[in-house]
Amino acid sequence: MKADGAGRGFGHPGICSLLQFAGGTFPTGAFSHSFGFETYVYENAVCDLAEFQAFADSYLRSVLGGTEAPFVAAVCRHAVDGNTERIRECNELLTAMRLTKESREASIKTGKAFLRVAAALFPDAPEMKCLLELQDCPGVNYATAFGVTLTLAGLDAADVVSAYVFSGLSSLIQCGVKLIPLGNTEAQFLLFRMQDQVTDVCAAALLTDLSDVCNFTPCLDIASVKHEDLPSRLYIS
Amino acid sequence: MTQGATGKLKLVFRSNGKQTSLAEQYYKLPLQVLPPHDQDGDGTAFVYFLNPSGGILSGDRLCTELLADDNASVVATTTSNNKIYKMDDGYAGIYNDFSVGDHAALEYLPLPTVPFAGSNLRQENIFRIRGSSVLFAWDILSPGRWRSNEIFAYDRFDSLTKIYRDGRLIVCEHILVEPGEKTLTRICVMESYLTSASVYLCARGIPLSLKDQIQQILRSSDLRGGMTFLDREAAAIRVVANDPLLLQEALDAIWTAFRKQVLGKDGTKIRRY
Repeated sequence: MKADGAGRGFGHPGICSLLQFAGGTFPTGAFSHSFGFETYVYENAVCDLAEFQAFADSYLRSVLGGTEAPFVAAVCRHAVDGNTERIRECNELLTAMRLTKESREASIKTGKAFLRVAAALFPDAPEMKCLLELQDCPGVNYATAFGVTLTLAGLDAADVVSAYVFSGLSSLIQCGVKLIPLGNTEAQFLLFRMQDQVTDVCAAALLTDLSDVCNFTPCLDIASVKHEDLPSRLYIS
Repeated sequence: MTQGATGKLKLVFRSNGKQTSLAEQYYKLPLQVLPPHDQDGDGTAFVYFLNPSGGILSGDRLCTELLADDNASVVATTTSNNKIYKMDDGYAGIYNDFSVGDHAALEYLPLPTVPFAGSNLRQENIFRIRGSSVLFAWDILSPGRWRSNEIFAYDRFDSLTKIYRDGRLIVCEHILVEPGEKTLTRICVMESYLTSASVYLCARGIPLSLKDQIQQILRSSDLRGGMTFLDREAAAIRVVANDPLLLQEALDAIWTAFRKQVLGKDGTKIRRY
C-alpha cells in the first residue's frame, strides 16, 4: 500500500522522501549512539583516520551490510506484499540477533523515535498499525520502521537499503568526527570514498536470505558490553 | 557425495521431587550417552554425551533431542572435544534440540568443537525454555588444532544458536565463517584473538552482583569479555582469548559463580578421566 504523494520528486521518483527519512535531521536520536565504537576510542584501539577507516569498513560489512541490511530488504518485500505477520517475524528475529543490552536498546529507541513521526504520516496503513502494536512490547527496531515507512513512501527495496546503509555509515563517521577527532573534510572524503563498499554490501544484502544472516562480531559485542560501564561517555551506546 | 553416519540421541529426564532420572532414552551410534550420576548429591542428573567414533566426518548427521521435564535438573557435557575432520566434499551436521520444562534446570557445558583444516560443519543448538526454567549454556569457537599451528584453516563453520522462551525467540546467534575470506581477523570480529565463547544464562532473578563477579573473573584471567543483560531474565557473556585453556578455566569459574548465585549450590569439577 502506497500513501498519497508516493514517488514525489523531480528526477529519481521518491528522492524527496529518501532525503527526508534518511537525512540527518529526521528525529531518530541516532546521533547519540556509537554502537560500541566509543569503547574502541576509550581504549585507544582506534586513534586516527587509518584505524577509523578499518573500523568503519568492518562495521559496514559486518553490521550495517551483513546483519541489518538484509532485514531492511526483507521488511520492504513484506511491506509491499502487505504481509504484517512476516514483518513481525523479521522484527522479532532482528531483536534476538542483537546480543548486547545497549545494541538492543539503541535499535529499539531509534525505531521508536522514527515511528513517532512516521506513524503520523501514514496513519491508515495496516503495516504502520502493525508496528504501533509492537512499539511498546517487544519494541520496533529502527531497521524495521525504516523499511516499512520508506516502502509506504513509494521507494523500492534497493533504494531503501542503500539509504539505510549510507545513513548508518554517515552516522558512524560523525561519531568519528567527535571522538577521534576527525576533521569534517576528512570525514566527508572518507564517506565519499566508501561509496563503492556501500554499493557492494547493499547488492549482497538484497540477495541474502535471512537464514544466512551472520551476527558474529564478538569483539564489537564486547566493546558494547564494556560501554555499559565506561566511567565517562558521550554516547548512549 | 560422501555417505556418512546418522547418529541419534533422544533423552527424557524426569524428577520425582527428590531426584532427576533418565526416564526415556534412545540412541543410535555414533551418538551415545553414559548413565547419569548424582555428582552434586542433590538429585541433579549428570550426563556425558560421547561419540565413540572419535570424530565427525563428511556426511555425518548427529541429532540430539533432550527434554528436562518439569522440575528436573540436568547437567550435560561431553567426554572430549568434538573433532571435525577434513572433508574432501560435503559437510557434517550436528543438530541439538533441548527443551527445559517449568521449574526445570539445564546446564549444558560441551567441550569445544574443533574444526580441522578443510572441514565443513553445520551446527544448530536450539533451546526451548519456559519462563520459570533455568538455563546455563555455552558454546566455544575453537581455531582448530592450534597447538599444531592449524588456525582457522577450516573451509566453513556455520553455527546457529537459538533460545525460545515460552515460544518467543529471545536469542539468535549465527556464526558463519569461511576463513579463506580473511574476515575473521578484522576489527569488530576476532581481531587478533584465537578463540571465543558465548555463554547464555536464563533464569528469574539473575542477581546484578553476578555481573560484577563475572567481570572480576574475566579481569583476573586477563581475558577480554563481559556480561550483559538482554532482558530481565536473560543474560549473555562474550569472551575472546588467545589461550583456549585459559578460556576454559575462566568458563569453569563463571559456571561456579552462576551456580552459587542463581542455583544456590556449590560448583563442581567435571571429571573426564
